[in-house]
Parts: sequence; structure tokens; C-alpha cells
Amino acid sequence: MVSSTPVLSTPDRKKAIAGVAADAVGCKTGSVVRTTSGRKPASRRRIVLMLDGDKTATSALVLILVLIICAVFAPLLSPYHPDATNLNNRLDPPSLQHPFGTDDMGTDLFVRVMAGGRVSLAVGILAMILAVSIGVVGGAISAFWGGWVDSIVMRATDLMLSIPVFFIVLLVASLITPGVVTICLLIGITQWMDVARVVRSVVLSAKQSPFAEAARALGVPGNRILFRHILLHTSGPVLVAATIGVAHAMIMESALSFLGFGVQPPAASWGSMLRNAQSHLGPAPWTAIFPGLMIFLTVLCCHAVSDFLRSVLEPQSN
Amino acid sequence: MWKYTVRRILEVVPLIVLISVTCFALMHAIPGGPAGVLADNPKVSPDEVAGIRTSFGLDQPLPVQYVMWCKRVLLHGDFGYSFATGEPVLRMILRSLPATLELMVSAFIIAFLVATSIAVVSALWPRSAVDTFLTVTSLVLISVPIFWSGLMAMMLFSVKWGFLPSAGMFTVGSPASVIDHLRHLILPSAILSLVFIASWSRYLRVTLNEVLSSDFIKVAKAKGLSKTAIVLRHGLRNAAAPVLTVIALNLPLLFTGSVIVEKLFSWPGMGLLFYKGLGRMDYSVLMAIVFVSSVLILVLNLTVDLIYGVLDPRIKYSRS
Repeated sequence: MVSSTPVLSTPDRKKAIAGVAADAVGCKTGSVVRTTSGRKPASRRRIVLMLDGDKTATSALVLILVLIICAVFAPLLSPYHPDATNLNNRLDPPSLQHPFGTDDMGTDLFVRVMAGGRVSLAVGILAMILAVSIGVVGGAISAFWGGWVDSIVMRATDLMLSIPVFFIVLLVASLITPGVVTICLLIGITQWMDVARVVRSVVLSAKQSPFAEAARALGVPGNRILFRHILLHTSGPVLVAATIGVAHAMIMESALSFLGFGVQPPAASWGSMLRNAQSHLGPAPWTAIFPGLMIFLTVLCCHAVSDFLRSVLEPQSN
Repeated sequence: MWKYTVRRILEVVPLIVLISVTCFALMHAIPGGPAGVLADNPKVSPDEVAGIRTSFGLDQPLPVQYVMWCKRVLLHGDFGYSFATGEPVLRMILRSLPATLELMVSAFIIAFLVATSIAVVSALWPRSAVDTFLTVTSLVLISVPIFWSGLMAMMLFSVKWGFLPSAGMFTVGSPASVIDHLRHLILPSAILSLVFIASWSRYLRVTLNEVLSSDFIKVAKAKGLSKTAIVLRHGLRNAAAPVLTVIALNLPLLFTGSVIVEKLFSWPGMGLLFYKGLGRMDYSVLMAIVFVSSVLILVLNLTVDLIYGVLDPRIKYSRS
């Protein structure tokens, strides 16, 4: 921590950032790095046990599960179709028949919001998986091999962190007509930097630890040490970063769709539904309230879960 | 210190080159190249397109074109002409930049003041009801996408209650006044500041708590300093440097947010210019905005790094 050591080296922002980079929220900066030196990663059972006493995290997890189940099954079970139009009841307020009301085409908003949730959640999760994979491989290789590989990866990370990546994503999305897969790709290849930094710092310290030294002394090949032994130590911080990653990817997707460069009609995501709602703010506020509420709830749950994971996996940070 | 400054400036140069290469590559990745948009226009004959290609040097090999582009941009600030309006791009950017900067600076100030007060209150009364409330508020704020909070604010303050205007910088048709302008500024800047309030206050709170548990704070307490004096004079000063890092990291987010907020509130800044450029495929404008904002972020980052040393004199600038 910069402020607690009397003599400090270069204000090495890269190192200081590593811990917070995930979302610049409340964790203690150096903690991610410190966790690995000698501490066993928390076991799955311990996470479940801790969950028992944590009401916030439990309800967040339950809420996410309910949302996923609703998104998957509600459109199948509902009498309405998420794309069906009914010009007789346009912009109907919420009622027993239409719990979320209807939109400007008379579509039942509840079904449409749930169907939109499939797209939003799928993009969030897939893009996060891609981003985390790139980040883990990039960060691990960069730290383990060092030298010019390290400089290239770190330069690329610096570059991506210091340019307004969203502008470039928008630009590319306006060039191509984006589908769900292209959106995942776009978000995935622009959101890996935080994970890469965290993984790099963990691997850097794990590389020096006695167990890695022992493996080297036994003659285990370098790549095997990296993939079989060291990478396991990154699982905690990566899990924390991944939950935040889902939130970030979802916000990015809805921002793209909100600006009209994401999921194209007739398919809907929460962001594109908000885009449509803009012109009916006065007469039909529910068209804007419900899709946004869904984004908010999902992102809130992701943050709550990641805060919880951080407190379990990195006990010193509390 | 001077050595460090020079080294940091030298480090920025390759990044600017990389950014320019990225912009240039993107411009040429567009189907048909930079003049492809013109070729799609039925009013422009193929001969004219060919003429434009030669006069702009678009028939030259790519590396030659890149050098020419760099020369024009770096020496003359010449980003070419807009494909949509025919206006010089630089003039369009310079016209919209003040509005964007005004929005960003006011959002920044709001975020800074609110985030600092939240963190200080939380640090003064840790684990109290206020602390819990503020922590939950930050968590909520960090999860609200700004296009939704913007829509909701617009719905309540402009559409429903009619307090505040929902679009533009001035009321059309009424004499321009400072009050009128400020009324237009309130919603966009407040919405843009929300994201930063959440992340800065959360981070500052943790850093403050950490600083407050260190030994020199105990000395200050033993000396008989009041709680408020300790937090404000010793706590904040020592928590400032690490928080600056987070602020620097958030800079690109300021630009991302400005596109969304400016579009939502029709604020005539660079973000709105970018959004409009996307719609009419005005690639020379888009490239210029990406380039200008990237360089702005780099310069601000550099400034933050140098302020670091001023805030925390214990930092030694050594070679790494």
C-alpha cells in the first residue's frame, strides 16, 4: 500500500492498480497479490459454509437464479409471444393481464423483458468467459515468461486501458451489423485487461514461492508448473473479477443496444427496450422502468456476490 | 523528479503512435476505405471518387499514407474534412469540445465533492447507521446504468414535474442567460457524476479506514487532536494519493459516459458529435474524436502521475 510504507519506490501504478482494477471499488489494493503467498485457496465447502451466514449474498444469488429461470422459462409458459404485436392494447399500463404493461406495439412487456433477459444474460456470461480466458492466458504468460512477452502484453494492456475503448467498440459495431455472437466477441476482446493485470500480479508472486521452486527443483517443465500449479492460485481473484465481468459486459451490451448499435430488432435486449422507451417516457413510463430495473437488479446482484466472494477468498481485505 | 517527468513523457509517445496506427488501421478496415462512403453516394460519380482518391493520396501505398496522415495531424492539426458536411473536422471538434469539457468538469467536481463527503462521514462514524446507509447507496449507485438513471431522472424532473429542461444547453427562443444554462447543465452533469461518486467513495472509504488504523493516527489521537481534525487533516491527505490512481483509471469512463449522457440529453458536445457521426458514417470525424480523446486521456494520466509526487512527498521517483 502506497501510504503505509515509509520508503517507496516508483509510484508503480500498474502494481497498485492490480487489485482494484476489477472495478475500482472497495477492495484493498495489494490484497489480491498477498492472498497467494502461502495461503491455500478457499475450498468450495468453505464458500458454501460462509454463504450460510450472509443474507445479502444469499439473496443476491437466489435473485440471479430466479432471473435466469424466469428468462429461460417465462417466454415458454406465457400465453403471449415476446414479438407478437397487438395494436388494440398499445401502451397499456401494468395490470393483472400484463404485469409489466405493454409497449408501443402492444407486446406484453413481461414476456418481452424476460425474452430480452435471455439475450442480456447470455451476452453478459459469454462475453465474460471470453474476457476472462484472454485475461488469464495473457496475464499468466506475461508474468511467467517475462521479458519481451511481458512488455508486449503490458503495453497492450496500458494502451487498452488508456483509450476510450467504448468509442472503438461503437465504431466497429456501426461498421458491421452486430449479432449476439459479434457483440460477445467485441465486448470480450475489450474487457480482458483487468483480469490480465490481476492474474499477472498473482502469478508473479506465486512464481517466487517455495512450492514453485520445489517443482522446478524436481525438474517439472515450466509450462506444467504454470498450468498445473500456479494457475490454481489465481482462481480466487479470477472468480471475483469474473462476477464483476458479467456486470460490466451486461452494462456494455445494454449501452450498445441503447445507442442502437447492439442487438437489432425484432430481437430485444434490455438495452434496446430502453431505447424504444425513450419516446414514450411521458405516457408510458413503465416501458422504461422495467427493462432498466432488470439491468440494475442483475448488476447489483453481481456486485453483491463479488463483494461476498472477495470477503471469503481474501479475508485480509476486510 | 525531472528525470522521471521526462521518462514518463517519453513513455507516452509510443502509446500515441500506437493509437494513431490503430485509428489509421480502423479507417482503412472500412469496406472501400475512407472514400467508400462517397462511392455509395449516387450523386457522386465514379470518376469523381477516383479524383478524390488521388487528391487525398488514397491511391498511395498504406505506409506512405500513414506518414502523410501523421504529418497532417501532428504538424497542422488537420484531420481532413467531414464526409457528411464537408466542414473541416478540426473546426467541428473545437466547436463541440468546450461543451463536453464543461459537462465533464462539472460532473467531476460534483463527484469529487459528494464522494469525499460520503467517505469522510463514513470514516467519522464507522459501522453507524449513516455508514451502512452510505455504503448501500454506493453499491446501488455503482449498479445503476447511467442510461437508465438518466431516463428515470428525465422522466421525473422534466416530463412529470417539469422542474428542469430535458435537452440542449439553452432554451430555444428565449434570451440566453447563465441561470438558464445552469438549469440545463444540472441533470446531465449529475447523471454523469453518479458512476464516479459510487466508485470513488467506496474506494476512498476503504483507503481512509486503512490510513486511520496506522500508527501516526494513534499519535495524533494521543496528542489530543479531535476526530474531525484527524480525518480531515491527516486521513484525507494520506488517502489522496491512492485514490488518485482510481480517478486516473476512470478517465476513459468519463468519455464513455459522455457519449451516453450527451445523446440522452442532446448536449451538443463531442460525444453527441461522435454519436451523430456513427449514424451518418462520418469516419473522418469518428477517427479524429477517437484520436483526440485518447490523447486527452493520456495527457491527463500523465498529469495525475506527476501530481502523485506532490500529494505524497514520500514517493521516490526511481528507475524501475
